[in-house]
Amino acid sequence: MRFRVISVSAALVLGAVFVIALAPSIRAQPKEIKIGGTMAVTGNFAVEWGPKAKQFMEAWATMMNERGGIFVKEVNAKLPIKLIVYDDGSSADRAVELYERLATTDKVDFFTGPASSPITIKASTVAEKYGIPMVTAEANSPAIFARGFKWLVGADRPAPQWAEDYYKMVKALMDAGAMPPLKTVAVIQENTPHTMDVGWGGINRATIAGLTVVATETVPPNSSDFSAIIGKLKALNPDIIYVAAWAGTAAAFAKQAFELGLKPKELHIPHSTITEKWGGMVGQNIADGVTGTTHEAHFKKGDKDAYFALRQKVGLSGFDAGWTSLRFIALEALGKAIEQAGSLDRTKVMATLRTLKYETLHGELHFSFGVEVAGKKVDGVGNKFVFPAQWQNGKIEVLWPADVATAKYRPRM
Amino acid sequence: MARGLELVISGLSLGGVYALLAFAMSLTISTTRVLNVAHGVFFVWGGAFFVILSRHLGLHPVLSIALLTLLFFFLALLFEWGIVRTLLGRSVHLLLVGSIMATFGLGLSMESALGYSWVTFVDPYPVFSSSLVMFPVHLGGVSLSGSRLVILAFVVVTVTAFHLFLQRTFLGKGARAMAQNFDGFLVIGLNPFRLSLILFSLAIVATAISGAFYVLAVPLDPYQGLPLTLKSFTVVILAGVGNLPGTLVAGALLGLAEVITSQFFGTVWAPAVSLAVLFLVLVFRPTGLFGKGLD
Amino acid sequence: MKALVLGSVALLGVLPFALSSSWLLVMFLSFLWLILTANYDILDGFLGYINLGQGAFFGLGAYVATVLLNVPQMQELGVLTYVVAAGSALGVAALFAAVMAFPLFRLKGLYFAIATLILIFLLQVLALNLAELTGGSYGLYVPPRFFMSTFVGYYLALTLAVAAVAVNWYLSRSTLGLAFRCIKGDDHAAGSIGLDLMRYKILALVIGSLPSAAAGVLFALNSGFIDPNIALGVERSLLPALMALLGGTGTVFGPVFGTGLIRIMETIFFHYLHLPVPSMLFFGLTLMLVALLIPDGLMRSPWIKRLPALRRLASV
Repeated sequence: MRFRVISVSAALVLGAVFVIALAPSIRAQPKEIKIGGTMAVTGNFAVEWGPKAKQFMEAWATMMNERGGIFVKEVNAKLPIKLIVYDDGSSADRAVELYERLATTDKVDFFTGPASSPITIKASTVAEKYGIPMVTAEANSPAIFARGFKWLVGADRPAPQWAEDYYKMVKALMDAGAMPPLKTVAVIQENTPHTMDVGWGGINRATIAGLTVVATETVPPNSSDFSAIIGKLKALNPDIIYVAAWAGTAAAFAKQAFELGLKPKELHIPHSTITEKWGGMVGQNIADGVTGTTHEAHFKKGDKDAYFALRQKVGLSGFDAGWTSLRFIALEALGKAIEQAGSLDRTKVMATLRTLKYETLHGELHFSFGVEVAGKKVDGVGNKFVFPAQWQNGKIEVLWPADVATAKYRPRM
Repeated sequence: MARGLELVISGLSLGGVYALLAFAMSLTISTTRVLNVAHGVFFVWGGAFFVILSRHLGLHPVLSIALLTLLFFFLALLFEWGIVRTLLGRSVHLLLVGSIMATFGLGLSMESALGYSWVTFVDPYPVFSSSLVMFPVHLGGVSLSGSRLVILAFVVVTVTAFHLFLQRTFLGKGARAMAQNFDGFLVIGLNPFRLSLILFSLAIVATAISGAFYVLAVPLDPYQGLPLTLKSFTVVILAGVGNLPGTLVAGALLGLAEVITSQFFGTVWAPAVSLAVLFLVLVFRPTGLFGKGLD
Repeated sequence: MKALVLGSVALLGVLPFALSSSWLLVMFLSFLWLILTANYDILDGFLGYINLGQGAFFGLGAYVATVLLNVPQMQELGVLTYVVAAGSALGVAALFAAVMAFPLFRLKGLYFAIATLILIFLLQVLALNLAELTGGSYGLYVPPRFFMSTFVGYYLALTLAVAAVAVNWYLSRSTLGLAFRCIKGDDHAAGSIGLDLMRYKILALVIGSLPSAAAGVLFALNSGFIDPNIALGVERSLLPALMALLGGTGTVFGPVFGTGLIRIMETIFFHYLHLPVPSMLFFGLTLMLVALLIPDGLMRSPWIKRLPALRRLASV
């Protein structure tokens, strides 16, 4: 009798141990690839990102699934993507709660990046904590990538480098006589991380075109009154005014400059060509001739047809919401890394991401590590660059580089 | 010299913009005791609808303002019926508390609704701005912003009109009476619901039209509502609650402070200085510049 | 009633062993909000002043601690580092409260409310502009070795929250609290019976600044990164007022229920609701409805009175 009790118990215990030991491998047959993230659907970051960003990502996942999913060699099958995007309401606190939820409750395999630098900074700490690869899209402040994190890469080229392409274009145009000889530049920067980075480039890269910076003005976020600055600049009369501000703030500046009689030879507002609606905000009269930089172009490489189809599906046309190219590339890179790694193992995918090189919309994408940007050592920055562009006849025309240029530079006066 | 004059006029016209934000709120709090935290949201909605009507639908600006008036009259009716009636019978303290909480919730949902609808139905970039009225004004050696002057003119006219309304007309006096002594008001036999309806309609329509004028000079986005409410609140308090002409002076004071600070200390410090000015005025005149402590 | 309270605290004490880390974080942040709300209520419910700048103490706590933790000499002190950082944070907040009390208490009602709001805006501008000290718009990082895990943070925040509510409980029963309520009722009368008004007002503001500053320190240690919006955003001042109003000002458990209600609503709408239309829309509408239906806060609403267990809590 006692023998029976003991042997049955032992068998049960052994059986339990056996099942528990096997269980991980039983669970390990994945049926789908889970990717998760948050997005600022409402709140102050929603102006730049908003519902369209979420819709675009979801449309991408649907498109990939229509193609059958991503082939994962380890399970010898094409797996569908399950994309989970929460609304963080532009709150960093809530974003972290939701990324933790994605990691622990939803148990996603990989992360997408959220909106804005501060939220990306906080979200990436969750990625680093759990060892979940995160590919961010638009976030391109060097501060984000200068923390020695191992699980983070970003598709966009760091913001301080935006000015490089612009100034290179300026130099080339001046050399070719297409732009009048310019000597001085004044920089206005809005006090938020991204625009300060863009302003940094404006100030520190001016020497590329042989320019001297004669004034630097920092303005509070969402400034609407520039009368004092405009007065000062009228007296200084710089050749170029470089306005590193978000589109709305820059629109207020452009309107005031017009009304108060400030007319520089060249008005460069990077964010003026990032959205097609900027021209309507200030009126064609003021917009024409303003140069900027855009993420969007009539891409000729990579999966461009799929990209444009996705944009159409979420109701975007022309130069609207150009950051979709970054989102697309970020998601595409993640997909390619999974495919090349042949596995959903996070370490393998991250290692693949680090050495990933493939041709996409703008050319070859790869991530750089240990490079110096704006005085910081950064890891994981991508190389999707912005294209200098200009408002002409109420439309945005890309000026540079030649293979996607749609028009030539037109001097303002 | 010309530069100095330019600065002063810039400051005054910026003040016009601040007064634009504040006068409708001053009217509302002083006459109805309802603190509409969604004031800034109605303001932004006004700007947004004006841009839809005048720019996207291409309607003539005067027609747009007329349609705006109609639309916001209906919204005011909804607001009054849904929120104000529920609150009106309560004690002063509970009315204030209830109005803060309810309008906060209302504001949050209204701004999300606008943000989502604009991006889904109008266009992907939710920033509203109108370039209808934009012209440089050059007098002597001085350059001025035409759009700001238009705003200043509108605000002076409207504030004067409302001030006269409160002081001279029967309805206006009734509104002040209702605010001062609700029970006495009932005893006289006047209908508080009808009066509050009229007041709210006036206030909300005025807020919306103010928003329409605002976007002539300054671009707005759906999520500026709460910051604008807070800003407008500070101007109201600086003037003294209920003093409409005071909002012009308060606005001018703040505008001048900001422009002068920008000129001599850098624009980054402008908000700090206008905040400090506000604080100091309150410390030395605890009920605002012209307030009578209606609390 | 004591059993209910002790039981709840004990339950909260063992919860971390059952919760996933995302829920731990939600609870941790909720405790911080409760601290802010309870402190807010000292000024509103007891003293009768609407303080729309409660977040200033939180932000000061977070910034002072983070700035100090980045000073090289500070980093070598071992355990003392935390003590000095937290102590300084509390000291600065209390000093700020004591100094600001003088100009602030010349004002009343709406005017006082706006003046406190101005303070938090001013602090935010300072944090943005004094970039060498505070990192400006780029924010400040807490050196990784000082990170506090959410598990530890949970317990510290819980203790602090219990302490903050206990302070309110003490006030509701003590002569100090009685003095506050006299001032709230009619401060001329209070002055004429011999109460030193200024002393009590400063005391109220300072008492209400300390736990909030400590909450700011805990937040910074767990967050690892702060910037002017995260630490000094206006929501940190407005939400505590809202939570206190919803729960019922002047009651001991009002802040608990108010914070709980808002946090539950927030979690439902943002973590669970998966609709194409924004969650914020529903959150706002629900808030509005709740506000219209509960005139004077949960603790004084007729429904609470019907539940015997809660009735006892409400009458504290």
